[in-house]
Amino acid sequence: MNSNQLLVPGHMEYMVLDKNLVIETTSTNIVRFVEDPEQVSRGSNIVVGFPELIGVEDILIAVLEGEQEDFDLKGIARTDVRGNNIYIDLYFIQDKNGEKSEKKLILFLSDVTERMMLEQRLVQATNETNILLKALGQKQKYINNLIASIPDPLLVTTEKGKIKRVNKAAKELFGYKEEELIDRPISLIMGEDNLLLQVIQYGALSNGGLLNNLEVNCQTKRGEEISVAFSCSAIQTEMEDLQDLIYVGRDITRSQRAQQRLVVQYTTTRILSESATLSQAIPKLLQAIGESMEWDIGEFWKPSKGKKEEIADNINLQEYQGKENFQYLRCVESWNRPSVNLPEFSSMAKLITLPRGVGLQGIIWASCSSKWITDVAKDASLLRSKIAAKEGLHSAFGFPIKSDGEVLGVISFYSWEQKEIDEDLLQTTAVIGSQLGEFIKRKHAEAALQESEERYRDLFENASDLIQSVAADGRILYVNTAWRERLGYREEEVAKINFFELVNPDCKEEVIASLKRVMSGKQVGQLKADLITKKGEKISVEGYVNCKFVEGRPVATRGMFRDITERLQAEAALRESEANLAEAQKIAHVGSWAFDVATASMSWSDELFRIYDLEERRLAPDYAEQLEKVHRQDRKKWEEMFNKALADGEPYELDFRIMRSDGSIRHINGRVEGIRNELGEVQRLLGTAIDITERKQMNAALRYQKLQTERLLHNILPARIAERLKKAQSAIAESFDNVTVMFADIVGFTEISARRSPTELVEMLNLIFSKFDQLSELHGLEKIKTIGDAYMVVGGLPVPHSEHAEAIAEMALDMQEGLSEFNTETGEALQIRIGINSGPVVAGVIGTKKFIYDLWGDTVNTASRMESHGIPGSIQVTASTYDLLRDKYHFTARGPIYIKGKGQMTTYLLTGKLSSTQ
Amino acid sequence: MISKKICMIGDFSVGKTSLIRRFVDRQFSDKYLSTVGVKISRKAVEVPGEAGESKDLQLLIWDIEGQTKFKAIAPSYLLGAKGAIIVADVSRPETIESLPDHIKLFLSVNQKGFTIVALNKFDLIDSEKMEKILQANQFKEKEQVLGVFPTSAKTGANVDQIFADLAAKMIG
Repeated sequence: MNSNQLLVPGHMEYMVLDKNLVIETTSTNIVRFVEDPEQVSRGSNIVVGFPELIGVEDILIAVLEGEQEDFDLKGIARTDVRGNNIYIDLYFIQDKNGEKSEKKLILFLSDVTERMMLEQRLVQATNETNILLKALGQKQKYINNLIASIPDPLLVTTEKGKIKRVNKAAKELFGYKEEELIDRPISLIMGEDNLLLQVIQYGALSNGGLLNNLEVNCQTKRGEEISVAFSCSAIQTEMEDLQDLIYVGRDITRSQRAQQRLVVQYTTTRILSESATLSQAIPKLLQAIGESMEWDIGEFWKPSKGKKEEIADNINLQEYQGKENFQYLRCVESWNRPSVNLPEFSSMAKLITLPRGVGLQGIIWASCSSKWITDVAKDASLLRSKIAAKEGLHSAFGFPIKSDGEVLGVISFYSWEQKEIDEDLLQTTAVIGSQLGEFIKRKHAEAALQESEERYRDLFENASDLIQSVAADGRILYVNTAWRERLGYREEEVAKINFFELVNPDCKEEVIASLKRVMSGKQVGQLKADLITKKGEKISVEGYVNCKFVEGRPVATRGMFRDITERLQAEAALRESEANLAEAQKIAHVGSWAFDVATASMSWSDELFRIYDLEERRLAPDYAEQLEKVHRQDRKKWEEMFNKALADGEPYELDFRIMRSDGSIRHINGRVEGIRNELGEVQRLLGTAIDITERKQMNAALRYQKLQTERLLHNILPARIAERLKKAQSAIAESFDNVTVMFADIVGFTEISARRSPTELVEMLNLIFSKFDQLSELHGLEKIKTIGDAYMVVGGLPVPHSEHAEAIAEMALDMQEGLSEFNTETGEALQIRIGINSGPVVAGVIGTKKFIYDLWGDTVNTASRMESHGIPGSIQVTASTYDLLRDKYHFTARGPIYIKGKGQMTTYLLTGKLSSTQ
Repeated sequence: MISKKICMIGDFSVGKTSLIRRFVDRQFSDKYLSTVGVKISRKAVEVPGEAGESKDLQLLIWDIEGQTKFKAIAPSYLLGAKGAIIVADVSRPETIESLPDHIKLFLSVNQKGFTIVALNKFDLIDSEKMEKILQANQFKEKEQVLGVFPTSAKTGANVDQIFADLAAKMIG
């Protein structure tokens, strides 16, 4: 071993590094800190075995150079040569011994595995606890928030019922502070003898049971009674066998009370509708309100006018001395719960009388409004307060029965319990008070009505109209004999039926609505209704309804109806016949109108509206508008017709046109005739209008057809011939002394036909001949026919004229020019050979089926020869034609040539026109 | 091959070791084993260079004992590191609150270092919460914070991403 070997403790090793951090020497057991002994062999760079030093090489050099005292890295985890996890501390210092030669760095490595393992366990435990605590804290906070935010009251108790926790809603509901509830028994708020606690004590919540919505009457700190529906369950505490109980409540006081109030309202309405009189209704009402709102005694006090001696001795009579019509309240009806026995209090009610402003009822009477007294026993101003105290009564309230501000009575209730003021109840009873007031008024009114109607009864009874008086709800108050007979009911049956049930369902809604309008003081015009008789027969009535007022308030409707069943039937029949007429007019397209001279009013039949396309209108146009509908050009004629008829009443007829609003034109055949009155004056004009547009159109179509036929005929025959042919069905032949005939043949066509399709040939030929047709028309010539590629045309026919030769000459020259144009356009090299001759011919149509106008005679044959013996591109004429044209055209003599069938002939070639100057 | 030192820094039990384990060994364990001292892991990565070619880089990843109330992170562990992944546990708000301190510590030791923030265990919370946390912790004002990523060592989400991003920045 090296003499420089350092002495180090057993758990430590060392290495000496040069200034390049290359290992120079190591302690013997250095290899135990590395995975591979090679990594720490002499000459290796330190970072090979200890990559942890990558990045801090600068610092190591600084230590080596003595610029930094030392450097350490502690707790480095590694895997040793045997694969065990070990921890090492590294500690670098400068090698002071190497001063003379070179600066060295010493690295001490110390095995701290054991210590680090211990530390790991410690840290692990600490961290785990820490995390758990944090999580727990969060959970608890969450649960607390949850409980606090539950809007329903929540209480947690021990199994024995001691309150452990309450939330905000619970504190608010019961009116306690938190410290007033914690550690107190739950019976503080719900009493001990309630079903919920009994059920729980019985063990309903063991084994995970749950109680749902059990209603419990609870008491607030202020002593108010409230209804709470509790749901209750048990939760396991940290102690085994020990449970906490959780109560979640819902305040149902309001909903319970609201329900009670609804019941009272409903019951009141029902009682009032079933009762005929107030004295029938009151006992039922007192009972209904008392029972459903949980009051023990109910009383009805009524104002009475009284004599002094009737006034009970509880009143100081001095005060009322000398006052006339002195009024006081007397208790006329009372009710108490069967279980309630208050002999003194109740009997006293019958004895006392209360003037305005005295006692609970007197105060209500005077103020005309409801009143609530929480404890009558403590209110000495009340007459019966002492007795109330003695018999244990506390709260009381009352309300006026009022109508139009007048108090018709007072209803009051008393209870053994002390009840806080319940505004909702007061409101409800105030409504009931008004309802009752209306009821009383109505009863009075109905009674008064019955009385007044008695007087008219005789009159009504003998009337032939159906007379009825019906209450707002449909009850029949009175009907007369005619009514009963027509509807088939006997007098005693009438009271039991409801008028509305007699109305035919089709018009029931309308009738009820009309009667309601009448009751509300509005005017309703004539009312029509269909009623069903007892036998089930439907009758129609029509009449007027008004409202019967008693003391200024509506109480019933009064109706006088006439049976119009028969009239309606007659009307229906009339309508039917009118409809038939309209139908007939529609079929015939005949519309009619009537003009009343006196009123200048115009009426139209349905069909006339249809003809004018004004079906959406109901009112006929007046005279001016009707005139305006007439076509502008026909207006004057129409107006004349109308005025003439108006003047003399005679019948007139006119075909004219009308303009519909969509712009279409209709042709109308119109007739008009006046109707005279006994003085002979024209009183009315009756008019009819027949739409003859279709007829007109048909006529026009026929005419057009005829015209077409004629045009066709003219194309084949000269117009004059065609005319004659139309007149005389026989053959026509006519001789003409002097005409010029021309034949033209297209040369080279046979040659073209070898390389063009027949269709193309026909098209070409058609093009050329069409051009020739135009030219012949231009020169006033008659084309006779085409024969293959030859064209035959004549001048001076069928109407003779002197210039026939000139026209043909011009034609011939133009044809030459036309063909050369055609050649230029198409690239063909066609030529034309023309022959012309002048002389007499016979022209005509032979046969009756296929009309062809043709020419006969030697002149024609010679002309044909001129062509066939001609020269392509030139115009050959006979001497007779030459004679006619020699002064106007250039000719070259062709000399005598042999013509088949003719022998030697002198012919000329026409080359052009002489200029006019020559 | 070039070697670069990067550090995992964060409060205890945020998942530093688990992130390394996922990245290096592609493994994950739910069991918590607290790290004491420091342990380095090596992983070679390919980093895309400027001209499209890729460079091999050896990452020396320092798994450093997490900070507790009683023990701060030893700055000597951070010496010579070019980058750091600062880790928080999204289910523990206090670990997120520590992030700025960790970043500050690292940058005070390595003025030219880069960091990336890993909001780990994001599989444990709902996405709305994660959205909020991300919005509240952007570190946009700090140039040396390359980004903030929700990560999960459990699912592997974004794990390779944070290492790759950091490696790429250190080469550049």
